[in-house]
Amino acid sequence: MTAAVSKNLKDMTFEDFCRTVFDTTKRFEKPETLKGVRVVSTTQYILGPSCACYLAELGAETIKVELPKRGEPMRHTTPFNEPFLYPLSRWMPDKGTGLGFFGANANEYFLSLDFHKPEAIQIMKRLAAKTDVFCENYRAGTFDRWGIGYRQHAQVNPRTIYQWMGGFGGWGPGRNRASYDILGQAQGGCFSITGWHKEYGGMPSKQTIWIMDYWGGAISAFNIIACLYWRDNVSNKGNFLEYSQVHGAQRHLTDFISLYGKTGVVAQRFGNWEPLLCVHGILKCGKSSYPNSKNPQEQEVGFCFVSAYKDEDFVNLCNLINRPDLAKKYPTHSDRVGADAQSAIYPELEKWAADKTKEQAWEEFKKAGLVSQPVWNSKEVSAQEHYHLRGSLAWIDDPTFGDVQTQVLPALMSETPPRVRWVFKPVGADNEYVLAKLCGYSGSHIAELEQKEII
Amino acid sequence: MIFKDSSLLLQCPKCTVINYLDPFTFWNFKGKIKCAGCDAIWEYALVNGHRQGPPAEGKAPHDRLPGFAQTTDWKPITTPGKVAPAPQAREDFQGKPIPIAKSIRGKVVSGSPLKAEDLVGSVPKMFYTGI
Amino acid sequence: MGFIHGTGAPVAFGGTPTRSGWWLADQVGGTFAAMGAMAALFAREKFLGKGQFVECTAAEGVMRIIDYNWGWHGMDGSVRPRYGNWDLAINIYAVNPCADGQIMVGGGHDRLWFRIWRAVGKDRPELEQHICEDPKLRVVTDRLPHYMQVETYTTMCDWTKDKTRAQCEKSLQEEEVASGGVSFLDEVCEFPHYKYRGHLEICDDTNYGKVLIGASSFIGMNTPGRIKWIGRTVGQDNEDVYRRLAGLDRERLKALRKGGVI
Ligand SMILES: CC(C)(COP(=O)(O)OP(=O)(O)OC[C@H]1O[C@@H](n2cnc3c(N)ncnc32)[C@H](O)[C@@H]1OP(=O)(O)O)[C@@H](O)C(=O)NCCC(=O)NCCS
Ligand SMILES: [Zn+2]
Repeated sequence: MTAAVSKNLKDMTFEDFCRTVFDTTKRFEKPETLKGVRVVSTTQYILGPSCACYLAELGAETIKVELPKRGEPMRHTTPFNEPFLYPLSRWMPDKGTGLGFFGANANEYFLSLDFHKPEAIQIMKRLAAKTDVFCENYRAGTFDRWGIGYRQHAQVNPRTIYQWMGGFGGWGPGRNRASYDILGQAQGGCFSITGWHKEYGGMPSKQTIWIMDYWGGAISAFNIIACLYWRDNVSNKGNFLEYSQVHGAQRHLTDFISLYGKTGVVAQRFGNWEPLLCVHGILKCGKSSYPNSKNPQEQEVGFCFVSAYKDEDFVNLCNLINRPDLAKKYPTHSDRVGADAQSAIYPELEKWAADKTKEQAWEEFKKAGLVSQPVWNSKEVSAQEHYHLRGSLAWIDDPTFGDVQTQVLPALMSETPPRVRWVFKPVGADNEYVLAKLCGYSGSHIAELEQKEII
Repeated sequence: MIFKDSSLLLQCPKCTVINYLDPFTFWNFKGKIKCAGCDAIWEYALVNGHRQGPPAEGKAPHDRLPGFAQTTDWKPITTPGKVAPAPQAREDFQGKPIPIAKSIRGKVVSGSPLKAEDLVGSVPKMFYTGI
Repeated sequence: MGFIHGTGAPVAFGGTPTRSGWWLADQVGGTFAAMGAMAALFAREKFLGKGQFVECTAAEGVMRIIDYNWGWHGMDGSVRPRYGNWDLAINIYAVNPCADGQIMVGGGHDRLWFRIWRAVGKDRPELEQHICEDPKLRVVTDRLPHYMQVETYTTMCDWTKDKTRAQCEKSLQEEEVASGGVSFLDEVCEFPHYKYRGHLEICDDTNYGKVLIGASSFIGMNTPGRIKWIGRTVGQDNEDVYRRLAGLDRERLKALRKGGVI
């Protein structure tokens, strides 16, 4: 950025500098990172779609292919069956797309194709000639069977980067097993270490969100961009990539896995406390922050995270709660971190917090110089101006659906920022556009395909 | 009585309403449950989801309400006070598609069913016309 | 970031907000930072011709992947509740207890819904019949309200309670349904499929000896990821780096070391 850093920028404080180069109101004045890269996303659920979506947020021209008429299954999922965005498609204006689809399909063009029809396979081959990246997460081998797998695409276009994503991988004794996000959580190992321990009445818990999917998609997208770089600058070769949800989980559980490898100890769940650090956990505060709210989510008592594992911080914390004796009893970190010590310390902290809201506890912790943060719900986070200014949350005027609040790829980039242009579109919304532009089909040809239920 | 011997589906011997004892709350349980159909109180115990004997009639008050209940011909009972409350995301939670016309900021959002006519003249809703 | 508020069981089930058992936010934030940096590299070579400044925080990483939270709140003011091991938006898609632990069963669409109940019906035909004939559960989206989920999973658990994780898995896989037990870490480390595919490997590290680790999950035909060492001691590569890249000689290295700079 040497040339770009004008004298003006050089003299700013760091904060002003960041504010200027990341200014989210200027997003659309800057170029896009993956400009000129074309992605075809034949994906369903979240794992595959989110991967393609990140690429689209970074500016790749991404074409999503889904089943004609009904679209992919995620369109028919929505929390407790309440919110939908209409129309589902131009053919079904009275049906809507559920919010399960939200967050994993932004900026894409929507093409519908029924792969059981030979014409659809022809269309895919035509697309392959002009496409850099394929993302796919059907059962391993399904696309090969249909004649549109990596090997078939590579014959048309050897520079193709083809990313398959799934549960257990494309080979190995368990390869045929179907998979979903929580299966990845369950069998990958991270499920068994989340949640309260038995003594506290808890059971293994899932991470509420579809983490193995959204995050697996991110890992895959990273790999794809790396391969694009390698293709364009090093080898001129395409690539066939595989991502397995369980493998992704295992890669990131390293300390727990090494613990087992070294000692045979099987790590267990430890609730809201941290097995390696103490105090570093979430406390229950006895009071609700919104006692008069009618929403049960807000009537709940609050929770607040606090960290004081360093000796001097721990002394401060003990003084704050008027229990200096605890600081004497557990002077060093190794005195505190054992399970018995933690079980003795946390209840004392919660006794102190019993007559406070999470905000009050937060204030007191801040005054004592401790790192802390109340547990916020989605309403409280939405209300943070901070995130809207930084552009990680944004209200956009979606061309189809109107005023929606959405998340945006969180990597802030000074020259080529990511952006969300639309959150998604109805099923088959871009059939005409994509088939005319990339396959050269005429209007009447496209109408005929529609009539034959190919698109 | 279809579920006479089931464990987690407690069918009331009096009124045959099926009380659903959800696994979160009842997997391991000992106490009194109030039938959502006839308010009868049943003493009941479960260990790892297995019941420890048929329900025995008990006296009020109850310890727990069933998670859900319905009659054998699928008429649901969800009245507050009969079954345990559902987790709610808002005070006026309904569990069925709700028509939404305005976002919480008060601007137009397309959250209600449309008719074919509504699409006419709307490029994004209809299809791309710029071929 | 709405994550902890939403993880764990709801109050009605006796739960509280819960943290993730592993350092999830750091890992997710790191992944997005790597993606941003890699994309910047790509753009630099392709058209931009210069570098750029990339910033990424863990909190916003989690906010990006927290499903539909923001859209939902924006539409009708909803605050995402906790829902334990069930799912707000998909039924069947959950983890529930069974005879020897917990079992995950998933089937987001109709085809799999009926297959799941067929598996249950082989042992308990009355359960299959009562669910499949329920008029309230005919349409996929009609199965989503809370009380419908209670009906579904309570019925299913009356079947799983008699079966171990392995037995549930076997019956469900006969119907090609996605299912699997909640595995503890020893089970994960010893699972034949993972061993065969090398998800876990022993890294014979020059510093730390043999350490069992999760292998790189970047599987690629031409460019497979790999882990060469798990970490180095502080300053282990000082000599190499400062000499090779900065051209420092013995004397200056010594001086820097003495001054506590390196
Ligand atoms: C998610 C999953 C379990 C779904 O399984 P599934 O629907 O039973 O089967 P497949 O993935 O093989 O998909 C093939 C089916 O998709 C349907 N389908 C979806 N889109 C289609 C399209 N555009 N054209 C034609 N058929 C389509 C067909 O019915 C087809 O079945 P058929 O050929 O037997 O008629 C499976 O795809 C899977 O394990 N994927 C990997 C893991 C993953 O990504 N999970 C999702 C993350 S939560
Ligand atoms: Zn009764």
